Formats: sequence, structure tokens, C-alpha cells
Amino acid sequence: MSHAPGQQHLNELPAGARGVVRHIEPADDALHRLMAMGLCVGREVEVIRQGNPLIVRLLGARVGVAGRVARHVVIERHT
Amino acid sequence: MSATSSCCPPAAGLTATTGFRIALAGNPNSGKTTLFNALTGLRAKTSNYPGTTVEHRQGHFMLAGTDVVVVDLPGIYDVKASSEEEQVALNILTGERFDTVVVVADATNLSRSLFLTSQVMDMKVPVIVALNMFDLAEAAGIRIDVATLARELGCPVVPIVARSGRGLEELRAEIRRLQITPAPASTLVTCDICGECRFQSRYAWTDAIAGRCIQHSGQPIHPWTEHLDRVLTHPVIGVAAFFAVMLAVFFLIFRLAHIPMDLIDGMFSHVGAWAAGHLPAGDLRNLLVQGVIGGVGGMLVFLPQICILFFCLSLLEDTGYLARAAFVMDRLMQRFGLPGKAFVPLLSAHACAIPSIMATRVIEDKRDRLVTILVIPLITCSARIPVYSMLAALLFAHNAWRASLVFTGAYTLGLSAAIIVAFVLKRTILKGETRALVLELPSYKMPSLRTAVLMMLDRAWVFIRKAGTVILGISIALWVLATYPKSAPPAEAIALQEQAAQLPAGQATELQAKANQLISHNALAHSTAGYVGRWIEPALRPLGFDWQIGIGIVSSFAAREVIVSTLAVIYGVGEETARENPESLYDSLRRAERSDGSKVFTTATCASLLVFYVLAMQCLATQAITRRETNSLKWPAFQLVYMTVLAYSASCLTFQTLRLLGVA
Repeated sequence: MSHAPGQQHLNELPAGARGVVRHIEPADDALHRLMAMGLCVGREVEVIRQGNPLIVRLLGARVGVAGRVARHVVIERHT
Repeated sequence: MSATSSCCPPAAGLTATTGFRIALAGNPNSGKTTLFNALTGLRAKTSNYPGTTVEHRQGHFMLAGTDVVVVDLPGIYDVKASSEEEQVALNILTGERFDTVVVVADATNLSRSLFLTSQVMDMKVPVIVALNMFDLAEAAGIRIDVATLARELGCPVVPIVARSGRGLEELRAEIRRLQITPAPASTLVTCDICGECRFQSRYAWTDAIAGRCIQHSGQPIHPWTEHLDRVLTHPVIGVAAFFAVMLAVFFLIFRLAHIPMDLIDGMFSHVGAWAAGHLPAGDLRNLLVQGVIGGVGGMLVFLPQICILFFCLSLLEDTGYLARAAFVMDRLMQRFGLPGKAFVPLLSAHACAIPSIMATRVIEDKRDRLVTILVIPLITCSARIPVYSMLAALLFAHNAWRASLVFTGAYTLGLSAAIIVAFVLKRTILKGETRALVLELPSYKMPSLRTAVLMMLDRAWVFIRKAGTVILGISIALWVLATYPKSAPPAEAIALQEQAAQLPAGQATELQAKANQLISHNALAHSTAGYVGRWIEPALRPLGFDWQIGIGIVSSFAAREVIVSTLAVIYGVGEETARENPESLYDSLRRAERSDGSKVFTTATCASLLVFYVLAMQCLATQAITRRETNSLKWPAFQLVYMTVLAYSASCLTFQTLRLLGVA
């Protein structure tokens, strides 16, 4: 769980938080799907509802994501 | 040039006979199916892609007098396969020849649609981009410069609204243009190898294009969706809302389905009675009336439930709601080793296992889907209700409250068995982590009735083709088993008939009916089914069943509800009487005795029989559909074996425990 200050895992951000994807830890097919939907390093993401599963806004679409997928994604939060 | 000018025959040299082939590609929820339906209507057929369980729809339409074949690819986000559907889409795109690929893009989410579009273009096929839901984009203040987009992509771009048909003429005209002068394959160059992540570089490219073609006013795209989702994806309220929605669907199924079901039932009894009256008596007549007409009627009676369920599911899917249902149920279902998407099929199985097994197609992971298919028949379907009613009446004759406990217990047993078996399967033969949820929650929209009706017809046809033929064959086979070898009518019946002949017509009917019941009982007891019943009796004794119940189990192998009418024949009530007055059947079952004078239907036997019918397969139509949906004989065979073993052991345990406790 070590990452730079100001960075958090996607499943730890509060609802309404926005940020930029900084790092994606290698994982399975489900994460692959999320990347094909537009979640990749350098791109914006917003948490709409936190929980497990959570909802994120990705490229104007709403995507439900399991907590165990979201914890592989490191976000730098906008302040 | 207009696409509607179909008055003249195609010019020589045109691809009139070879057939112009187009493929529809696009993200899930891009409206691809709506466009496919709008183009082809009823001229489409669904089949499994060879060697897989992924469905593959093909249709055709006429364009300026020539036939155009359309292949609807599975909805995908990416052509680098991470699921079986993506693999199939990729195989079709690279393995088959297409004159054009129409990429259905969501105008409200252009950047993501361009991701797939550019991947398809990389395959060096001519592409037309159909910019769907253009009206929704306009309403949300997204202004797309179509001409710029077409120039950037180097291919035709047609704004359409598949639901209303807007832009379809232009799309057909564009296809026609390519039909006459084939376009060169796309020469678009996107950068896939620079940068460390192929998603990153490709998305940078789509963003750049979208930025040059879109002016967005900045207002939220789908305010309604946000408001509704605050409620419908809530961990508590969302679940409650989901159960309310499903309750409404079940209400519709049980409320509406019985009308066409009674109609079908009545129609087939009439046809049967008519055939019985017009054909010469004999085996052929009996085969036609009981085997063929009875078999077809017994199969078609499932249809209304299947149709209503698929109609409702299609509407719910189309509104965008089903994705929310999968979302709110995911956490709970993951505990049992299944994804949230498995919940709606499992719940629908309370109506009928057949449409539910067909509905498991939404489950992405192969193993998750297989586990769901395997456990669905354990859930109490509506065909079990007559059996439960009979046994509840036998167990607690005049206590409605206790009888309702029998029902509750049976439903709970079925559901628990399904959950436990799923849990066990996921940890043994179908080991593997349940696929984690990554699911787009599309914007809510008005559902398309046309899509729902076409979906319903498509599923009904699959059922008739795949299950209907099997049921018909088996019902003929079972008729043969219950008819041959033939035996002479018993002396008692002949005596009754002679007695009846002496009496005036009015008083003779009762004696005659009694004689007929004796004859049919005798015929069944001495038929092959009767011998099989006696032959398997030693195996059934530990369950508390005698050979007559054995006949019931054998004859209801194809359809469990048949046991009620078989028992009616065996215990001399007659099928007709039992149907019109079930109490008369229950009474004679209660009185039934073995040769040693003990009761046949003791509490222990009834409880054991109930457990058996909760857990046993006893439905050949379901097996036929499992065969189709798993594309193998192995899985329906496994389903039959594990359910029979489970039913046998659980019944045995029930009977022996109750006997030890002195409840005999």
C-alpha cells in the first residue's frame, strides 16, 4: 500500500472525489475490461458512489466496479 | 443516388448473387441490437458460434434489389480478447469476409466509441461509423461535427437514431454506395506501440479526435440517470427496489401466463377429443391423442411463461435497469461464488428453468455461467406446484397453515440446495475466482417494444426448436412404455361392463367409468412402465416408495408434473376426474394400502417424495436447453446425475430419519 503522498487507491476515495490515474497494478481480465473502458494512466476518473461495488464516472459513462478491482488503481486526487 | 430506387434489376457485374456482407460491431449498450432489428426485422436467426456458447445473430435485408447479409457481433469494448465474446467477435472479424463493418458508436460517449472504432479500422476493412443516439447527444448539448469526424477518420460517418429509425435511409444509402464502388480498406494510423500502455496511447488519440469534433455545453449529460441511481444503486434501498421490480415481473408471469396456458391446454384437449372422436379406435388413435397431441400441448404450455419472462427481461435490460440489479446483488452473490449477474436468472427460475438458463448468457465468465446453469433446475419452478399441492394435501389434509409451511419448506430447500451446490462446484470441479464486477451502468432510457417483441419471438422459437422436438420424441417414447405390452382387461372390469350393459343408460355410466378405471390401471400396471416400476422397487424401498410410485417417477421423467396424472391412473381415479376434482385423487391416495394392509402414503413417504421432487431433475426440456446453452452433452448428463444422486440421498435420509423418529 505504499504510494506517493496525495495518492490513494480508487476504493479509498470518498464519493464525489475526482483525480487522475497514476498507476495501475497488474491484475486480471476484469481490470483489463476497465482499461478498455478508458481507465488508464493519466486519465481522469470521478467516484460517484463509494462502497463495494463502487460507481465511477469514466469518459462520461458510469461504471460499477468491484472493490477488489478498484484497489489495484492508484489515483492522485484533485484538490 | 437514392437507396430506395429498387425498381430496376441490379446492373451486371454487381454483387447480386454472391451477397454483400456487413458486420455490426460496437460496445455493449451502443444500440447495436436495436439497429440490427431495425435493419433486418424478422429476417434474422440466432445460433451459437461454432464451438462456443456465444450467440451469433445473422439476418438480411434487401437493398436496391440485392440481398445484404448482416452479422451482429457480440457487444465488446476491446478486440484484444479478455472474454469469450471478445474472442468470438475477433474470430468473426478476422476469419470471415466482410464487405463493410458498420461500427455502432454511442454519440453520447464518442471518445470511448472511437477506441473500438480505431481498433476495427486497424483490421484493414472498410468501415462505416453509425453515430447512434444522436438525439440524446443533441439533447445533452453535445454538438458533433460529423463532417470533421468523417475527415479525421477517413470513413463515412452517419448520424442515426436506431430506435426511431432516423438516419437509417442515409445509412442504407452509404452501404449501397460501398456496394457499387467498394471502398479501399481503412488506412487510418493510430499509434498502438508507442507508450507503455496500448490503452493509454489509443485513448490519447481518440481524445484528440473527439476534442476536434465535439463542442459540449457542459451541462450534465443524464440528470435523470443521476437522480434515479441515487436510489436504485443504494446498498439497501436499491436491493428493496430490485425485489419490488421482480415481484411485479412475477405477478405478471403468474397473473397473465395462466390465460394463454389455459387456452393452450383447452385447445389441445379439444383437438385430442376431436381426434379421439374422428379416428378409428386403436393404437394409432391413442398414439396421436396421448403421445403426439398430448406431447405437443405439454410442451407449448410452457411458452406463455417463457414469452412473458423474456419480454419483461428485455424491457428491463433496455431501460438500463438490469445492470443496476446486477450491481446491487453483486456483493451478496460473490459470497456464494457467483457474480451479481447470476441473480436475475436464478430468481426467474422460480417461474421456469428454461428461460432462466437461456438468460444466463449475460454472465461473462464461462465457469460462473456454467455453475449457474447447473444449479438453476434445483429452484422450485411452477411445474412443481401441482406436485407440492398434492403432497401438501396428503401431509396436512385440513390445515392450510401447515400446508403452506410445506410449500415454504420446499421452496427454501430448493433455493438452499442451489446455493450450496454452487458453492461446492466453485470449489471443486469448476474452481476459479468469480469474475469481479466491471459493469457499465448505461443511462436510463425508454425501452423499445420492438426489441422486446423480437427478443421474445426469438427465444420462443429457440425453445420450440431445441426443447419441443425432444419433448415430443420422449412423450411418444413414454406413451409406448406405458402402453406395451398390452394386457387383457381384468375379469372384474369385464364383470362390471356386463353389469352395466344390463342397466338403463343413465345408471350405467358410473359402472362403466369404474370399469374403464380398472382397465387403465391394469394396462399401466402390466406395461413396460409397470415392469420398470417393479424392477426399480428394491432401489426405491429405502426412500419409502413402492413400485406404483416408481411408475410415477418413471413416467414423469420428462416432465415432473406428470406424476399427478400417473398416480391418478394407478390409484384408479382416472385422469379426467383427478383434473376436475383433485380432492378425489387425494382421498384415494390417502386410502391407498399396500398388500400387507399398511398405508402407502404415510407422512414419511410423503415427506420423502416431496424432497425427491424438490431436488430431482425430472424435466427433459431443461436438459435439452442445458445441452444447447453449454454446447455439450457432458453438462446435461452431469446435471441429471448429480441431481438424481442428491434427490435420492436426501429422500432416503428424510424417510429413514422420520421412520427412526417413529413418524411412519
